[in-house]
Amino acid sequence: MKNFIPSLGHFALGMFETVGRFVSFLGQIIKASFTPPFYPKLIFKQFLRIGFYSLPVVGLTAAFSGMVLALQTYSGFSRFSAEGAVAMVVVISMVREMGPVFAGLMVAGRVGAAIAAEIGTMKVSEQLDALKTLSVNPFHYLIAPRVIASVLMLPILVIIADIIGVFGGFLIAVEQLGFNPSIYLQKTFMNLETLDVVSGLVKAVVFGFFIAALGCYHGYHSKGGAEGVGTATTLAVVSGSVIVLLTNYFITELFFGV
Amino acid sequence: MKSKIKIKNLHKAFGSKKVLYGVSLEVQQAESLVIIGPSGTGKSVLIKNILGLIAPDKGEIYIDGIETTHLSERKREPFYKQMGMLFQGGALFDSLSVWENVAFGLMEAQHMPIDQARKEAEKYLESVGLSKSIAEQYPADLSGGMKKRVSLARAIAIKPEILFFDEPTTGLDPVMAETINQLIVKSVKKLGATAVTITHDIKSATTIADRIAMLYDGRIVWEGTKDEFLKTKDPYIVQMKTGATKGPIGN
Repeated sequence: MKNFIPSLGHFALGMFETVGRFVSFLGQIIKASFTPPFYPKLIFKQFLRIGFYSLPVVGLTAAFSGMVLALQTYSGFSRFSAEGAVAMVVVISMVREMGPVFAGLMVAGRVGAAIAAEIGTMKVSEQLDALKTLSVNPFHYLIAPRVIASVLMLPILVIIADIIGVFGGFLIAVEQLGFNPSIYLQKTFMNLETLDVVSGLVKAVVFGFFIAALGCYHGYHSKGGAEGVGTATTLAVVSGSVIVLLTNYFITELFFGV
Repeated sequence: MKSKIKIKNLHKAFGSKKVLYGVSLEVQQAESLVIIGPSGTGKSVLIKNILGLIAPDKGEIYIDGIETTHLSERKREPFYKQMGMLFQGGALFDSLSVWENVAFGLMEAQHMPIDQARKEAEKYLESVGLSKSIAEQYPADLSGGMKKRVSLARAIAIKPEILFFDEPTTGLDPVMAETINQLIVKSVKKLGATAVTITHDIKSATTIADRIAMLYDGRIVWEGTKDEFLKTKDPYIVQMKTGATKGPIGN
Protein backbone atom coordinates (compact mmCIF):
# COMPACT_ATOMS: atom_id res chain seq x y z
CA MET A 1 0.00 0.00 0.00
CA LYS A 2 2.88 2.29 0.93
CA ASN A 3 4.37 1.91 -2.56
CA PHE A 4 1.08 1.79 -4.35
CA ILE A 5 -0.07 5.36 -3.75
CA PRO A 6 3.16 7.10 -4.84
CA SER A 7 3.42 4.92 -7.94
CA LEU A 8 -0.19 5.72 -8.80
CA GLY A 9 0.69 9.40 -8.43
CA HIS A 10 3.74 9.01 -10.66
CA PHE A 11 1.64 7.24 -13.24
CA ALA A 12 -1.04 9.96 -13.21
CA LEU A 13 1.55 12.74 -13.44
CA GLY A 14 3.33 10.99 -16.28
CA MET A 15 0.07 10.57 -18.14
CA PHE A 16 -0.89 14.22 -17.73
CA GLU A 17 2.60 15.24 -18.84
CA THR A 18 2.38 13.14 -22.01
CA VAL A 19 -1.12 14.37 -22.85
CA GLY A 20 -0.08 17.98 -22.23
CA ARG A 21 3.03 17.60 -24.36
CA PHE A 22 1.04 16.05 -27.20
CA VAL A 23 -1.64 18.75 -27.08
CA SER A 24 0.98 21.50 -27.17
CA PHE A 25 2.67 19.65 -30.07
CA LEU A 26 -0.67 19.65 -31.94
CA GLY A 27 -0.98 23.39 -31.28
CA GLN A 28 2.45 23.96 -32.79
CA ILE A 29 1.52 21.85 -35.83
CA ILE A 30 -1.66 23.85 -36.44
CA LYS A 31 0.20 27.14 -36.03
CA ALA A 32 2.95 26.05 -38.42
CA SER A 33 0.39 24.85 -40.98
CA PHE A 34 -1.26 28.26 -41.24
CA THR A 35 1.70 30.63 -40.91
CA PRO A 36 4.52 31.23 -43.40
CA PRO A 37 7.01 30.08 -44.52
CA PHE A 38 5.18 27.43 -46.58
CA TYR A 39 7.01 24.78 -48.56
CA PRO A 40 4.74 23.84 -51.51
CA LYS A 41 7.37 21.58 -53.08
CA LEU A 42 7.69 19.56 -49.89
CA ILE A 43 3.90 19.33 -49.54
CA PHE A 44 3.68 18.04 -53.10
CA LYS A 45 6.37 15.45 -52.40
CA GLN A 46 4.34 14.24 -49.42
CA PHE A 47 1.20 14.12 -51.58
CA LEU A 48 2.97 11.50 -53.66
CA ARG A 49 4.40 9.59 -50.71
CA ILE A 50 1.27 9.61 -48.57
CA GLY A 51 -1.43 9.62 -51.25
CA PHE A 52 -0.23 8.11 -54.47
CA TYR A 53 1.97 5.36 -53.07
CA SER A 54 -0.75 4.29 -50.62
CA LEU A 55 -3.16 3.62 -53.48
CA PRO A 56 -2.26 -0.05 -54.11
CA VAL A 57 -2.58 -1.18 -50.51
CA VAL A 58 -5.70 0.88 -49.84
CA GLY A 59 -7.32 -0.28 -53.11
CA LEU A 60 -6.52 -3.91 -52.41
CA THR A 61 -7.95 -3.87 -48.87
CA ALA A 62 -11.05 -2.02 -50.09
CA ALA A 63 -11.66 -4.48 -52.91
CA PHE A 64 -11.44 -7.53 -50.67
CA SER A 65 -13.48 -6.03 -47.87
CA GLY A 66 -16.24 -5.09 -50.34
CA MET A 67 -16.18 -8.62 -51.73
CA VAL A 68 -16.32 -10.33 -48.35
CA LEU A 69 -19.03 -7.93 -47.25
CA ALA A 70 -21.25 -8.98 -50.16
CA LEU A 71 -20.64 -12.67 -49.45
CA GLN A 72 -21.32 -12.43 -45.71
CA THR A 73 -24.38 -10.23 -46.04
CA TYR A 74 -25.81 -12.59 -48.59
CA SER A 75 -25.17 -15.69 -46.50
CA GLY A 76 -26.67 -14.02 -43.42
CA PHE A 77 -29.60 -12.24 -44.99
CA SER A 78 -30.69 -15.13 -47.20
CA ARG A 79 -31.63 -17.01 -44.01
CA PHE A 80 -34.67 -14.80 -43.74
CA SER A 81 -35.05 -14.07 -47.46
CA ALA A 82 -33.69 -10.56 -47.30
CA GLU A 83 -31.11 -10.94 -50.09
CA GLY A 84 -32.44 -7.72 -51.60
CA ALA A 85 -30.69 -5.74 -48.83
CA VAL A 86 -27.18 -6.83 -49.92
CA ALA A 87 -26.62 -3.79 -52.16
CA MET A 88 -27.69 -1.40 -49.40
CA VAL A 89 -25.64 -3.06 -46.67
CA VAL A 90 -22.54 -3.13 -48.86
CA VAL A 91 -22.70 0.50 -49.91
CA ILE A 92 -23.59 1.90 -46.50
CA SER A 93 -21.05 -0.17 -44.57
CA MET A 94 -18.38 0.60 -47.11
CA VAL A 95 -18.93 4.35 -47.32
CA ARG A 96 -19.69 5.01 -43.66
CA GLU A 97 -17.28 2.64 -41.95
CA MET A 98 -15.10 0.23 -43.84
CA GLY A 99 -13.76 2.61 -46.44
CA PRO A 100 -12.55 5.23 -43.96
CA VAL A 101 -11.43 2.78 -41.25
CA PHE A 102 -9.52 0.40 -43.52
CA ALA A 103 -7.90 3.26 -45.43
CA GLY A 104 -7.06 4.88 -42.08
CA LEU A 105 -5.54 1.70 -40.65
CA MET A 106 -3.52 1.02 -43.79
CA VAL A 107 -2.21 4.58 -43.87
CA ALA A 108 -1.46 4.44 -40.12
CA GLY A 109 0.71 1.40 -40.81
CA ARG A 110 2.36 2.63 -43.94
CA VAL A 111 2.64 6.37 -43.50
CA GLY A 112 2.64 6.71 -39.70
CA ALA A 113 5.57 4.30 -39.49
CA ALA A 114 7.49 5.97 -42.31
CA ILE A 115 7.07 9.44 -40.82
CA ALA A 116 8.11 8.32 -37.33
CA ALA A 117 11.14 6.45 -38.66
CA GLU A 118 12.27 9.32 -40.84
CA ILE A 119 11.86 12.10 -38.28
CA GLY A 120 13.17 9.81 -35.52
CA THR A 121 16.35 9.11 -37.49
CA MET A 122 16.76 12.82 -38.13
CA LYS A 123 16.36 13.46 -34.42
CA VAL A 124 18.91 10.90 -33.22
CA SER A 125 21.45 11.90 -35.88
CA GLU A 126 21.11 15.58 -34.83
CA GLN A 127 19.61 16.60 -38.19
CA LEU A 128 16.72 18.30 -36.39
CA ASP A 129 19.21 20.38 -34.39
CA ALA A 130 21.08 21.12 -37.61
CA LEU A 131 17.86 22.43 -39.18
CA LYS A 132 17.37 24.79 -36.26
CA THR A 133 20.92 26.10 -36.39
CA LEU A 134 20.36 26.84 -40.09
CA SER A 135 17.36 29.01 -39.06
CA VAL A 136 14.77 26.58 -40.43
CA ASN A 137 11.96 25.62 -38.10
CA PRO A 138 11.35 21.82 -38.20
CA PHE A 139 7.63 22.37 -37.62
CA HIS A 140 7.38 24.39 -40.82
CA TYR A 141 9.86 22.41 -42.87
CA LEU A 142 9.21 18.81 -41.82
CA ILE A 143 6.04 18.44 -39.82
CA ALA A 144 3.49 20.81 -41.42
CA PRO A 145 4.00 19.45 -44.99
CA ARG A 146 3.42 15.89 -43.78
CA VAL A 147 0.32 16.74 -41.77
CA ILE A 148 -1.15 18.96 -44.52
CA ALA A 149 -0.56 16.29 -47.15
CA SER A 150 -2.04 13.58 -44.96
CA VAL A 151 -5.16 15.65 -44.14
CA LEU A 152 -5.76 16.41 -47.83
CA MET A 153 -4.88 12.96 -49.19
CA LEU A 154 -6.86 10.72 -46.84
CA PRO A 155 -10.30 11.94 -48.08
CA ILE A 156 -9.22 11.20 -51.65
CA LEU A 157 -7.96 7.77 -50.64
CA VAL A 158 -11.23 7.12 -48.82
CA ILE A 159 -13.33 8.07 -51.86
CA ILE A 160 -11.25 5.72 -53.98
CA ALA A 161 -11.56 2.99 -51.34
CA ASP A 162 -15.35 3.50 -51.26
CA ILE A 163 -15.65 3.15 -55.02
CA ILE A 164 -13.38 0.12 -55.23
CA GLY A 165 -15.08 -1.52 -52.23
CA VAL A 166 -18.59 -1.04 -53.62
CA PHE A 167 -17.38 -2.31 -56.97
CA GLY A 168 -15.87 -5.37 -55.28
CA GLY A 169 -19.23 -6.10 -53.68
CA PHE A 170 -20.96 -5.58 -57.00
CA LEU A 171 -18.64 -8.03 -58.74
CA ILE A 172 -19.30 -10.80 -56.22
CA ALA A 173 -23.05 -10.11 -56.16
CA VAL A 174 -23.34 -10.23 -59.92
CA GLU A 175 -20.78 -12.87 -60.86
CA GLN A 176 -21.15 -15.27 -57.98
CA LEU A 177 -24.50 -14.66 -56.32
CA GLY A 178 -26.51 -14.11 -59.48
CA PHE A 179 -27.82 -10.60 -58.86
CA ASN A 180 -29.08 -8.53 -61.76
CA PRO A 181 -26.39 -5.88 -62.36
CA SER A 182 -28.67 -2.97 -63.19
CA ILE A 183 -30.98 -3.59 -60.25
CA TYR A 184 -28.00 -3.99 -57.91
CA LEU A 185 -26.54 -0.68 -59.05
CA GLN A 186 -29.89 1.03 -58.83
CA LYS A 187 -30.32 -0.16 -55.24
CA THR A 188 -26.78 0.94 -54.44
CA PHE A 189 -27.34 4.51 -55.55
CA MET A 190 -30.88 4.70 -54.17
CA ASN A 191 -29.71 3.89 -50.68
CA LEU A 192 -26.64 6.11 -50.64
CA GLU A 193 -27.17 9.51 -49.03
CA THR A 194 -24.95 12.57 -48.97
CA LEU A 195 -24.56 12.29 -45.20
CA ASP A 196 -23.03 8.81 -45.60
CA VAL A 197 -20.31 10.16 -47.83
CA VAL A 198 -19.79 13.31 -45.76
CA SER A 199 -19.40 11.37 -42.51
CA GLY A 200 -16.80 9.17 -44.20
CA LEU A 201 -14.87 12.20 -45.43
CA VAL A 202 -14.96 13.89 -42.02
CA LYS A 203 -13.50 10.70 -40.61
CA ALA A 204 -10.82 10.73 -43.29
CA VAL A 205 -9.75 14.28 -42.40
CA VAL A 206 -9.58 13.50 -38.69
CA PHE A 207 -7.69 10.22 -39.28
CA GLY A 208 -5.27 11.94 -41.65
CA PHE A 209 -4.48 14.62 -39.10
CA PHE A 210 -3.92 12.25 -36.19
CA ILE A 211 -1.95 9.63 -38.12
CA ALA A 212 0.57 12.18 -39.42
CA ALA A 213 0.65 14.13 -36.15
CA LEU A 214 1.31 10.97 -34.10
CA GLY A 215 4.02 9.85 -36.53
CA CYS A 216 5.71 13.23 -36.24
CA TYR A 217 5.24 13.36 -32.46
CA HIS A 218 6.80 9.97 -31.80
CA GLY A 219 9.63 10.62 -34.24
CA TYR A 220 10.31 14.07 -32.81
CA HIS A 221 10.53 12.72 -29.27
CA SER A 222 12.50 9.56 -30.00
CA LYS A 223 15.54 9.00 -27.83
CA GLY A 224 18.72 6.99 -28.17
CA GLY A 225 19.83 5.31 -31.36
CA ALA A 226 18.28 2.67 -33.58
CA GLU A 227 16.30 1.21 -30.68
CA GLY A 228 14.68 4.57 -29.96
CA VAL A 229 13.67 4.96 -33.59
CA GLY A 230 12.23 1.43 -33.56
CA THR A 231 10.18 2.20 -30.45
CA ALA A 232 8.97 5.46 -31.99
CA THR A 233 7.85 3.64 -35.14
CA THR A 234 5.97 1.00 -33.16
CA LEU A 235 4.31 3.64 -30.99
CA ALA A 236 3.31 5.65 -34.07
CA VAL A 237 1.59 2.65 -35.68
CA VAL A 238 -0.09 1.43 -32.50
CA SER A 239 -1.30 4.86 -31.35
CA GLY A 240 -2.31 5.78 -34.92
CA SER A 241 -4.41 2.63 -35.30
CA VAL A 242 -5.99 3.02 -31.87
CA ILE A 243 -6.88 6.64 -32.50
CA VAL A 244 -8.41 5.73 -35.88
CA LEU A 245 -10.76 3.24 -34.21
CA LEU A 246 -11.44 5.50 -31.25
CA THR A 247 -12.27 8.67 -33.18
CA ASN A 248 -14.21 6.54 -35.67
CA TYR A 249 -16.62 5.57 -32.92
CA PHE A 250 -17.12 9.14 -31.74
CA ILE A 251 -17.65 10.54 -35.23
CA THR A 252 -20.18 7.80 -35.98
CA GLU A 253 -21.91 8.64 -32.70
CA LEU A 254 -21.92 12.31 -33.70
CA PHE A 255 -23.46 11.68 -37.12
CA PHE A 256 -25.72 8.69 -36.59
CA GLY A 257 -26.10 8.34 -32.82
CA VAL A 258 -29.61 8.50 -31.40
CA MET B 1 38.19 43.22 -26.75
CA LYS B 2 34.44 42.72 -26.70
CA SER B 3 32.78 39.78 -25.05
CA LYS B 4 30.85 37.75 -27.65
CA ILE B 5 29.48 34.99 -25.44
CA LYS B 6 29.09 35.18 -21.70
CA ILE B 7 27.77 32.36 -19.53
CA LYS B 8 26.96 32.90 -15.88
CA ASN B 9 26.43 30.13 -13.35
CA LEU B 10 24.75 27.68 -15.75
CA HIS B 11 22.98 24.62 -14.32
CA LYS B 12 21.40 21.77 -16.20
CA ALA B 13 20.15 18.41 -15.00
CA PHE B 14 18.40 15.57 -16.81
CA GLY B 15 16.12 14.01 -14.25
CA SER B 16 18.26 13.42 -11.18
CA LYS B 17 21.51 13.49 -13.18
CA LYS B 18 23.25 16.85 -12.82
CA VAL B 19 25.22 17.58 -15.97
CA LEU B 20 26.22 21.22 -15.60
CA TYR B 21 26.77 22.55 -12.15
CA GLY B 22 27.50 26.26 -12.17
CA VAL B 23 29.46 26.83 -15.38
CA SER B 24 30.71 30.37 -15.99
CA LEU B 25 32.65 31.24 -19.14
CA GLU B 26 33.39 34.18 -21.37
CA VAL B 27 34.47 34.13 -25.02
CA GLN B 28 35.87 37.28 -26.60
CA GLN B 29 35.08 38.44 -30.11
CA ALA B 30 37.15 36.61 -32.77
CA GLU B 31 38.65 34.34 -30.13
CA SER B 32 38.88 30.58 -30.47
CA LEU B 33 38.00 28.83 -27.23
CA VAL B 34 38.39 25.09 -26.88
CA ILE B 35 36.57 23.29 -24.10
CA ILE B 36 38.22 20.00 -23.22
CA GLY B 37 37.15 17.32 -20.83
CA PRO B 38 36.60 13.59 -20.59
CA SER B 39 33.61 12.07 -22.38
CA GLY B 40 30.28 12.47 -20.65
CA THR B 41 31.11 15.64 -18.71
CA GLY B 42 28.46 17.75 -20.40
CA LYS B 43 30.51 19.46 -23.11
CA SER B 44 27.85 18.89 -25.78
CA VAL B 45 25.12 19.94 -23.37
CA LEU B 46 27.01 23.18 -22.72
CA ILE B 47 27.20 24.23 -26.37
CA LYS B 48 23.63 23.12 -27.03
CA ASN B 49 22.63 25.46 -24.21
CA ILE B 50 24.54 28.33 -25.84
CA LEU B 51 22.90 27.55 -29.19
CA GLY B 52 19.47 27.44 -27.57
CA LEU B 53 18.77 23.81 -28.51
CA ILE B 54 18.43 22.93 -24.82
CA ALA B 55 17.09 25.27 -22.14
CA PRO B 56 19.16 25.51 -18.93
CA ASP B 57 17.60 25.03 -15.50
CA LYS B 58 19.37 28.01 -14.00
CA GLY B 59 21.89 30.64 -15.05
CA GLU B 60 22.22 33.17 -17.84
CA ILE B 61 23.65 33.21 -21.34
CA TYR B 62 24.51 36.44 -23.15
CA ILE B 63 25.37 36.78 -26.83
CA ASP B 64 26.66 40.20 -27.87
CA GLY B 65 25.55 41.43 -24.46
CA ILE B 66 21.92 40.37 -25.03
CA GLU B 67 20.45 37.74 -22.75
CA THR B 68 19.25 34.78 -24.83
CA THR B 69 18.61 32.26 -22.05
CA HIS B 70 14.85 31.96 -22.35
CA LEU B 71 14.08 33.49 -25.74
CA SER B 72 11.17 32.13 -27.76
CA GLU B 73 11.87 30.28 -31.04
CA ARG B 74 10.91 33.36 -33.04
CA LYS B 75 13.07 35.81 -31.10
CA ARG B 76 15.94 33.38 -31.26
CA GLU B 77 16.00 33.33 -35.05
CA PRO B 78 18.32 36.34 -35.52
CA PHE B 79 20.80 34.58 -33.21
CA TYR B 80 20.59 31.32 -35.17
CA LYS B 81 21.37 33.33 -38.27
CA GLN B 82 24.74 34.34 -36.87
CA MET B 83 25.70 30.88 -35.61
CA GLY B 84 27.05 27.87 -37.45
CA MET B 85 27.63 24.44 -36.02
CA LEU B 86 29.63 21.41 -37.05
CA PHE B 87 27.89 18.45 -35.45
CA GLN B 88 29.78 15.43 -34.18
CA GLY B 89 28.30 13.01 -36.70
CA GLY B 90 28.04 15.66 -39.40
CA ALA B 91 24.21 15.74 -39.18
CA LEU B 92 23.98 16.10 -42.95
CA PHE B 93 20.44 15.88 -44.33
CA ASP B 94 20.46 12.46 -45.95
CA SER B 95 17.52 13.20 -48.23
CA LEU B 96 19.48 16.00 -49.91
CA SER B 97 22.52 15.88 -52.17
CA VAL B 98 25.89 17.24 -51.04
CA TRP B 99 25.52 20.63 -52.70
CA GLU B 100 21.93 21.01 -51.46
CA ASN B 101 23.22 20.35 -47.95
CA VAL B 102 25.89 23.03 -48.25
CA ALA B 103 23.47 25.50 -49.87
CA PHE B 104 20.63 24.69 -47.45
CA GLY B 105 20.99 27.72 -45.19
CA LEU B 106 21.54 30.00 -48.20
CA MET B 107 18.41 28.79 -50.00
CA GLU B 108 15.99 28.22 -47.13
CA ALA B 109 16.91 30.97 -44.69
CA GLN B 110 18.54 33.59 -46.92
CA HIS B 111 16.37 32.84 -49.99
CA MET B 112 19.27 32.87 -52.42
CA PRO B 113 18.29 31.85 -56.00
CA ILE B 114 19.07 28.20 -56.73
CA ASP B 115 21.77 28.76 -59.41
CA GLN B 116 23.66 31.22 -57.29
CA ALA B 117 23.34 29.00 -54.20
CA ARG B 118 24.77 26.07 -56.15
CA LYS B 119 27.78 28.13 -57.24
CA GLU B 120 28.34 29.27 -53.67
CA ALA B 121 28.05 25.69 -52.46
CA GLU B 122 30.69 24.52 -54.96
CA LYS B 123 32.95 27.35 -53.87
CA TYR B 124 32.67 26.27 -50.24
CA LEU B 125 33.18 22.62 -51.16
CA GLU B 126 36.42 23.61 -52.84
CA SER B 127 37.47 25.66 -49.85
CA VAL B 128 37.29 22.52 -47.68
CA GLY B 129 39.28 20.56 -50.25
CA LEU B 130 36.46 18.68 -51.96
CA SER B 131 35.97 18.58 -55.70
CA LYS B 132 32.85 19.71 -57.51
CA SER B 133 32.32 16.17 -58.75
CA ILE B 134 30.84 15.03 -55.43
CA ALA B 135 28.20 17.79 -55.45
CA GLU B 136 25.51 15.46 -56.80
CA GLN B 137 26.31 12.59 -54.42
CA TYR B 138 24.33 11.84 -51.28
CA PRO B 139 25.73 11.86 -47.72
CA ALA B 140 25.37 8.06 -47.48
CA ASP B 141 27.99 7.71 -50.26
CA LEU B 142 30.64 9.72 -48.40
CA SER B 143 33.39 8.63 -45.99
CA GLY B 144 33.52 9.96 -42.42
CA GLY B 145 36.16 12.56 -43.24
CA MET B 146 34.28 13.78 -46.29
CA LYS B 147 31.06 14.08 -44.28
CA LYS B 148 32.86 16.26 -41.73
CA ARG B 149 34.19 18.47 -44.51
CA VAL B 150 30.79 18.85 -46.16
CA SER B 151 29.32 19.64 -42.77
CA LEU B 152 32.06 22.24 -42.22
CA ALA B 153 31.29 23.75 -45.62
CA ARG B 154 27.59 23.93 -44.68
CA ALA B 155 28.40 25.62 -41.36
CA ILE B 156 30.65 28.30 -42.89
CA ALA B 157 28.48 28.90 -46.00
CA ILE B 158 26.05 31.05 -44.00
CA LYS B 159 29.00 33.25 -42.92
CA PRO B 160 28.30 32.96 -39.20
CA GLU B 161 29.79 35.20 -36.54
CA ILE B 162 30.04 32.34 -34.09
CA LEU B 163 31.06 28.80 -35.02
CA PHE B 164 30.62 25.75 -32.83
CA PHE B 165 32.55 22.55 -33.38
CA ASP B 166 31.39 19.39 -31.59
CA GLU B 167 34.21 16.84 -31.45
CA PRO B 168 35.46 17.71 -34.95
CA THR B 169 38.15 14.99 -35.09
CA THR B 170 36.41 12.08 -33.37
CA GLY B 171 36.43 8.93 -35.45
CA LEU B 172 38.93 10.21 -38.01
CA ASP B 173 42.43 8.93 -38.80
CA PRO B 174 45.28 11.18 -37.58
CA VAL B 175 46.00 12.64 -41.01
CA MET B 176 42.36 13.47 -41.70
CA ALA B 177 42.00 14.81 -38.14
CA GLU B 178 44.90 17.21 -38.74
CA THR B 179 43.40 18.26 -42.11
CA ILE B 180 40.11 19.09 -40.38
CA ASN B 181 41.96 20.99 -37.63
CA GLN B 182 43.78 23.09 -40.23
CA LEU B 183 40.55 23.71 -42.15
CA ILE B 184 38.85 24.87 -38.98
CA VAL B 185 41.69 27.30 -38.19
CA LYS B 186 41.66 28.59 -41.77
CA SER B 187 37.88 29.00 -41.99
CA VAL B 188 37.55 30.69 -38.62
CA LYS B 189 40.36 33.16 -39.46
CA LYS B 190 38.90 33.89 -42.88
CA LEU B 191 35.46 34.62 -41.45
CA GLY B 192 36.87 36.52 -38.47
CA ALA B 193 34.45 34.42 -36.44
CA THR B 194 34.36 33.57 -32.77
CA ALA B 195 34.79 29.82 -32.33
CA VAL B 196 33.86 27.42 -29.57
CA THR B 197 35.13 23.86 -29.95
CA ILE B 198 34.59 20.92 -27.69
CA THR B 199 36.94 17.99 -27.89
CA HIS B 200 38.87 15.45 -25.86
CA ASP B 201 41.61 15.37 -28.48
CA ILE B 202 44.52 17.37 -27.01
CA LYS B 203 46.34 17.66 -30.34
CA SER B 204 43.22 19.14 -31.91
CA ALA B 205 42.76 21.50 -28.95
CA THR B 206 46.27 22.93 -29.16
CA THR B 207 45.98 23.42 -32.93
CA ILE B 208 42.65 25.24 -32.85
CA ALA B 209 42.69 27.13 -29.57
CA ASP B 210 43.62 30.64 -28.51
CA ARG B 211 42.32 29.78 -25.09
CA ILE B 212 41.44 26.46 -23.45
CA ALA B 213 39.01 25.64 -20.66
CA MET B 214 38.57 22.30 -19.00
CA LEU B 215 35.11 21.06 -18.03
CA TYR B 216 34.95 18.35 -15.41
CA ASP B 217 32.15 17.21 -13.14
CA GLY B 218 29.79 19.88 -14.43
CA ARG B 219 32.07 22.90 -13.91
CA ILE B 220 35.10 24.63 -15.35
CA VAL B 221 38.13 23.36 -13.41
CA TRP B 222 40.86 25.16 -15.38
CA GLU B 223 41.06 27.99 -17.86
CA GLY B 224 43.99 29.65 -19.60
CA THR B 225 45.76 30.56 -22.83
CA LYS B 226 47.29 27.94 -25.09
CA ASP B 227 50.82 28.71 -23.74
CA GLU B 228 49.62 28.40 -20.17
CA PHE B 229 47.99 25.10 -21.10
CA LEU B 230 51.25 23.72 -22.45
CA LYS B 231 53.17 24.73 -19.32
CA THR B 232 50.68 24.20 -16.51
CA LYS B 233 51.22 21.62 -13.76
CA ASP B 234 47.51 21.58 -12.90
CA PRO B 235 46.68 17.97 -12.01
CA TYR B 236 43.52 17.90 -14.18
CA ILE B 237 45.35 19.14 -17.27
CA VAL B 238 48.35 16.90 -16.66
CA GLN B 239 46.12 13.84 -16.38
CA MET B 240 44.13 14.86 -19.47
CA LYS B 241 47.38 15.27 -21.45
CA THR B 242 49.07 12.07 -20.29
CA GLY B 243 45.96 9.92 -20.10
CA ALA B 244 47.10 8.57 -16.73
CA THR B 245 44.52 6.46 -14.97
CA LYS B 246 45.48 7.88 -11.55
CA GLY B 247 44.61 11.47 -10.70
CA PRO B 248 41.71 13.81 -10.00
CA ILE B 249 39.74 12.54 -13.02
CA GLY B 250 38.10 9.38 -11.73
CA ASN B 251 36.38 6.73 -13.70
